[in-house]
Amino acid sequence: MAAPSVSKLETPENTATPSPQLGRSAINEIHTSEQSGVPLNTPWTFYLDKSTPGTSAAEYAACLRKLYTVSTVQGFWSVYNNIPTVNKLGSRYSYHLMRHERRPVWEDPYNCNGGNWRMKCHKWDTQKVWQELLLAAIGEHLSDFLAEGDEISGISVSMRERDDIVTIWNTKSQLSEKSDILVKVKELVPDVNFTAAFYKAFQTHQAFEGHSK
Amino acid sequence: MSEKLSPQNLPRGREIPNRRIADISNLPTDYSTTPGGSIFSTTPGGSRIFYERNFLMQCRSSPLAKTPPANMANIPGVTSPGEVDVPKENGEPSKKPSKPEKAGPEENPQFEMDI
Repeated sequence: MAAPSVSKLETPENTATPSPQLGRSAINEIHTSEQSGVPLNTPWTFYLDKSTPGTSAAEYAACLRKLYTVSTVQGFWSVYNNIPTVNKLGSRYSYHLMRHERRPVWEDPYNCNGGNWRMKCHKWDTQKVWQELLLAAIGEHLSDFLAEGDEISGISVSMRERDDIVTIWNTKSQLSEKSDILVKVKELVPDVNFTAAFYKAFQTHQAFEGHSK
Repeated sequence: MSEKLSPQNLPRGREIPNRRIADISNLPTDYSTTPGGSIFSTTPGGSRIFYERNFLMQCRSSPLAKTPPANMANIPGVTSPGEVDVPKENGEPSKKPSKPEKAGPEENPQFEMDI
């Protein structure tokens, strides 16, 4: 392609061929500020849901709202800074931050052989615990406390009438016993007293609707 | 400046912006200097990126982080003003009331365990 004059370069209509300059400008407009931040190890997706006791997997998935998928540190904050803090959420609402665009659904392929650590904490601690877990997750500091071959799928916080619940999702329930993740959590929030903490594989839940693989 | 460039000068000048993730460009130069700490590192021979908490917290006040993404999902009460409205399946009550909830069986007896 012949070198166009400067004035032509600035006018998209004058693009004679399927030109890179048009593509670039279009891409720049489409892509958000996400693109100029510091890249995360993997993208993470924020979800919101309001749980209702007794829902089926399909009903639960239908109520799940994807907020945004972030791929940079700044993108993470641009979402987190602009959604209500957990203490402003009503009872039974949950936030989830899931790796890539995995859904926080037990039966999904990435989760069906996994489970989660569930920790109950006092309401006054929930915001702190949630934020520290978020930072540890996107900073990839949780992964080192898993057994080899396991992976952090996501983290959740669920608002309840009394104590709230934070959970850490992994992909391989068989490896959960070899994990030191609860030690790591204690290290992240040494002042927080969890009223309960345990691991549960998704397939052992009565309501699990998937099939073991 | 000296006209004689010592061999060390050139590579050292380039290492800082490149950090250890040579395949990821656009890392703004002002993020390459955290006071007193590494920003991130990679696993030995791997590609995992670790971010230190302090660095993540510093990014919180960056201009990019102040406004929500332009195309973030619009959920009244969450990402925009209004009442929180998470859709219900046709507004119907649950059809399987015998099952425990999906997202947090807080009545689960397993919660008796201590940390």
